[in-house]
Amino acid sequence: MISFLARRIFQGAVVILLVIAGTFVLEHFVPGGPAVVALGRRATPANIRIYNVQNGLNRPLIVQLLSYLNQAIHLNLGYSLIQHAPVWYLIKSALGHTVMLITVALIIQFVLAVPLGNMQAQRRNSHFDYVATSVTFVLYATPVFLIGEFLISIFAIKFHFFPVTVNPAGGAFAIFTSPVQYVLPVLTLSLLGVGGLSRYQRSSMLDTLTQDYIRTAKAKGLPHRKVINRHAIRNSILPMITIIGLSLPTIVGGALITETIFDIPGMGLLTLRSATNYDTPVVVGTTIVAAAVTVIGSIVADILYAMADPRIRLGSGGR
Amino acid sequence: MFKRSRVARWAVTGLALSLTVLGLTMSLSSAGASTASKYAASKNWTIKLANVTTGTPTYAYPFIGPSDFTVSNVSWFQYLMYRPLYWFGNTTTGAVQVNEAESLASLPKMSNGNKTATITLKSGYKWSNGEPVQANDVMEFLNLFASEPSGEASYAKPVKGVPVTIPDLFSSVTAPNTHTIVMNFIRPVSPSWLLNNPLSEVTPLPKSWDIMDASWKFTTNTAAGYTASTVVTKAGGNLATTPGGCWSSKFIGDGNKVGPTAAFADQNGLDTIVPKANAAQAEKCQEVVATMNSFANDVVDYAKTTTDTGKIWGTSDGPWKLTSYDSATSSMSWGRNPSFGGPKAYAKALDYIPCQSETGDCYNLLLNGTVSATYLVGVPAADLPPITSLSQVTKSQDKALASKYDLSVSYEPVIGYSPLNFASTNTGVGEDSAMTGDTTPRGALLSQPYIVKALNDSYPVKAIVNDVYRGYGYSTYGPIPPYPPSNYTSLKSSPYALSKVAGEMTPHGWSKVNGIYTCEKPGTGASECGAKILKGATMTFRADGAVSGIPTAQAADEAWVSAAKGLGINIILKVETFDAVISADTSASTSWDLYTGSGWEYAPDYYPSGEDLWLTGDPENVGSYNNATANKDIMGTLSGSVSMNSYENFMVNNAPVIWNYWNPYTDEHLKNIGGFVEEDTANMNPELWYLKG
Repeated sequence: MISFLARRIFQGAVVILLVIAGTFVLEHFVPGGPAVVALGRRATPANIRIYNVQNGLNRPLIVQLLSYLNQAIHLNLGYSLIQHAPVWYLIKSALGHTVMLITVALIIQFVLAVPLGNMQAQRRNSHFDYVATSVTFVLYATPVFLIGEFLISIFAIKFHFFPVTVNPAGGAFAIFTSPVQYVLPVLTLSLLGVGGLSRYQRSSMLDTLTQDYIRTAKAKGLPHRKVINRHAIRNSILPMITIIGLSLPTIVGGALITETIFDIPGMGLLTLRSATNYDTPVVVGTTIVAAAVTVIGSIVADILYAMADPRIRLGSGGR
Repeated sequence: MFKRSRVARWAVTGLALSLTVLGLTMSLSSAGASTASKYAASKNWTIKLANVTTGTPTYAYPFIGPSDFTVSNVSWFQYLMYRPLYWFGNTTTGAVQVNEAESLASLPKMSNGNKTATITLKSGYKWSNGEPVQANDVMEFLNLFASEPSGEASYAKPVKGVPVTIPDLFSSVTAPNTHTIVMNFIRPVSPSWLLNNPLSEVTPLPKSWDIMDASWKFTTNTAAGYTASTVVTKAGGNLATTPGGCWSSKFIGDGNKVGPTAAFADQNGLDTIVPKANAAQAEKCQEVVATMNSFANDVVDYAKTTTDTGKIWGTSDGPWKLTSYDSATSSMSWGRNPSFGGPKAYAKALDYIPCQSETGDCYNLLLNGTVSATYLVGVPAADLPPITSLSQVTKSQDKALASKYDLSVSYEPVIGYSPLNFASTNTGVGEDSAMTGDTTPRGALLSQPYIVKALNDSYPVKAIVNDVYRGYGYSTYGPIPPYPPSNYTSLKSSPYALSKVAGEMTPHGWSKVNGIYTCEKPGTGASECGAKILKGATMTFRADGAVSGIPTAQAADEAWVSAAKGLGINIILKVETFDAVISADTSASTSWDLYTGSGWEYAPDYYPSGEDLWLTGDPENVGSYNNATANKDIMGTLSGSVSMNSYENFMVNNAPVIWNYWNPYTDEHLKNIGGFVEEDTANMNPELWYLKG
C-alpha cells in the first residue's frame, strides 16, 4: 500500500511539473500580450517596452520558466501582472468559492443521479426508463455553457426569478447565506454530471442485480425493498467512488465555464480572466493548484476505493 | 497622447448634430427638475456600471508613470476621487473642451508675452481630511515632476537639447500665496497647448501624501555624480515617516539647468532640471514617489481604512470616496464624498459590476436590466444593424435593449495610422520569400514623398469602413482627428484616392511588370524614380499587422493588401500581436517597413500637436521621420507661432505615415437616468447623474 501511494504521489508530482511547464509555454503563444492588456487603450510603444522590461517579459522564455520554477519550489507563486496582488492571495480568495460550488453541485449530482439510475435499472426497458434515458442523454450531450445560457435566458432574463450573475462580495459561504443567486449556477453544474453519473449507476445496478448474492437474498425470501436497499444499492454505488474521482477534472472544467457564465469569483473565473489577460503568473498558479487538486482527488479516490473494497487492498498489498 | 491598439476597442459612432441634439435634450430634461427633487429621487440610488475585468483599475496614485497610465486607472478610477487641476469634458454635450466650472482652478492668465501663466485656485475645494486644496498641493506635483520626470506619463524628453514640455520649460514656479501659482517659462508657450496638454495632467496632491518610508535604502551612483534612487518593489509602506518636503511653496526645479548643467538624474537616469543646491530635496521627492508607488501597488488594502494604505487613499478631494475594492473579484464601490467642493453626487453610491465579455455576461447584465449604464464596457457592435452613414448611428439601437435603455454615442480624439520606417534597410522580397533581385532599401523608396502619397492613395478606407465595419467608422486622413469636431482641423475630406496611384507612380519612371510597379528610370530627375532607387526596384513592402486576435482589424488589413495589389503595390502582410510588433518595430530597428493596427489618442493631452509623434529624435517617432518643416511647425504650434491649420495641411500632404481610420463608441444607459452624458474625453461625471422623478 505504501509503495503504491509513493508511486502515485511521484507520478502526481511529475504531472504537476509537466502541467506547469506546458501552461507557461502555451501562455506565451497566445495572441496579444500582457503589456497591451495591462496598459489598455492608451498603451504607447514606449510604455509597453518599459512594462516588458519591468516585469521581466523581455527575457528568453526558458529563463522566465526556470525563474518561475525556482520561485514555485519556494512556495512563491509570484505577483499578478494585471491585478497587482500576490497570486496566492488571489487563489486563496477564489478557492473557497470553487470548492463550495463543486461540493454542493457534486452532492446534488449524487442525490439526483443515484436514485435515477437505480430506478431506471429496476424498471429496465419501461416507458420511464426510455424517457429518463432520453433526458439524460440530452443532458450528457449538452455543453455546460448552453445549459447555463438556457437557464439564464429563461429564469433570469425572461422571468427575473434569479439574478444573471452572482454578487462577488458575498464570500465563499454566500452559497448558504444567500442561496437564491446560486440556484442557476449550481443547477447548471449539477445537470452537467447527472446524465453521465445516472448512466453509470444504471449500468452498475443492472450488473449488481444479476449477482448470485442478490439471487440468494431473493431466494431466502427477503422483501424486494430490503434486497435493493441492503444489498444491491450498497454494492452498486462502489464503482461510483472511482467514477466521481475520475470525473473531477470534468467537474473542475465545468466549474470554470459555470463560474464564467455567472461571474462567480472562483478558480475557474480567475484562471480564465488571467489567461485572457495574459497574466501568466496567475494562470500558472491556478493551474498548479487545479492540477494538485485533481491529482490529490484521484489519489484520495484510489484510497477510498481500497478502503471500501478489501480486494483492492489485498491486491495492492500483494504487489 | 497615447498610442492606441485596436485591441479592446468597442462599438461605434455619432455625428456632431446628433451629439448636439442629445445634449439639448438632456439640458431640457435637466432644467425640468429642481436640484432638490433630483436629490430626493436619487438619495437611495446606487449607480451600477458593468466593468469588463480586463479594465480593472489597479493604480491610485495620480503621479502616474507610463506603465500604469490607462483610461481605467485615470479617467474611471482616480478622477472619481482625486480631481485634476483642470477638468476636461463638457458635462452637457460631452465635447472635448476645458470645463472651468468643474475645474479646481480658474483658467490660467497668460502674460509676459506668453512666458508667464498665473493660476488661481478656487476656494471651497478641500480634502476629505478638512484641509483646503491649495497652491502647495500643486507644487507637490510639480516638485515630484522636476525630480522624477520620466516617472510621469506625459513627459517628453528634450529633443536635441531643446525642451519640449514641462517641467523642462519652467524657468521658475512660485506660490506667492495659498491659492496662486505663477509659472514662468523659458520661452513663449501657446496658451491652448499649455492648458490642454501639460496642465491637463497636473493633479494637486495632499500634504499627507508627502511622505518617505525611512526604512528603505537608496543607493548613490557617485560615479555619475548623481544620487539615484532604487526602485522599491514591495507593496505597502510605513506611515511613521518624515515629510519629503515636496509639499512646499518652493519649487526645486529650474528650466535653465536642463541637460548637462543639471545636477540630478531621475530613477531612469534621465537628466532633470534640479540644480545642485536642491539635489538633497529632490532625492527625498524621489523617495516620496517610491513610497507612494508602493502604496499604489498595495491594491489589497485600498479600501481598508484601518490600514496605512487605506488611510492614504481615503484622502479625497473628488466627488466620490472608495468604500470597497476587491482586486480578486474586480468589484468596487464608492460612496458620495460629502466634503467635495463641487456639485455633490445625487446618487448615494457607485458600484462597478465585474463581467468578463462584452458579448457574454456583460450583455446579459444589460438584457436583465441589472446595470445602470455601460459606460466602461460598450455595446457589442455585432448587435447593431449595418448603416450607410454616420448620421444613422444614433438610431441604430439594439432592439433587445430598446425598451430599457437609451443609446448614446461618442467620439474620442483618435487618429488611426500605419507608421512607415524611413530608415528601413529591407530589400524587395517576393511573396514566396525568395529574393527578387530588388536590392533597393525600402527606406529609399519611402523617402520619396510621391511614394508615400501613392501608398496613402492605395488605402481603401471607404471599403474598410463600409464593408468591414458595416458603416461604423470614418477616415482619419491627417494628424488632427476629424471627430470629435474641433477648431483645430480645417480639412473636410481626404486628399487621397485609389484612382490617384497611377498619377503618382507613372510620371516618376515606374511601370507595371507582372502587375507590380517597377522602377524603369532610375535617377534623380523629375521624371525619374529618385535617389538611391535602383532599376528594377519594386513597390513591395512588408507590413507587420499588429492585429492578431482582432478579426475586423485583420480583415481591414487584408482589404488593403487586396486593393493595393490591384493597383500595382505589393503589400506582404504578416499578422502578429500588437505587443510583439511595437516591441520589435522601433526607431532603433531598420528591419521593418511599416506596421498596421495602431492609432493615437489625444487624451488627456487634448491639443493635437505632434510633439510626441513626429519630432526628429523623439522616441515615439518610431519611423525616424525627419522633416525640418514638420519640426518647425510642431514646435511652432507649442509656442503659438504656427497655426494648427498650417501644421495640419503640411502633415496631411507630407505624411509621415499611412493615414487609416477609426471608430466611434456607443453606450447604453437606463431611460430613467437624467444628466447622463457620453464624454468624448472618456472621463465621466456620475455625480451629475440622477434618477428622473
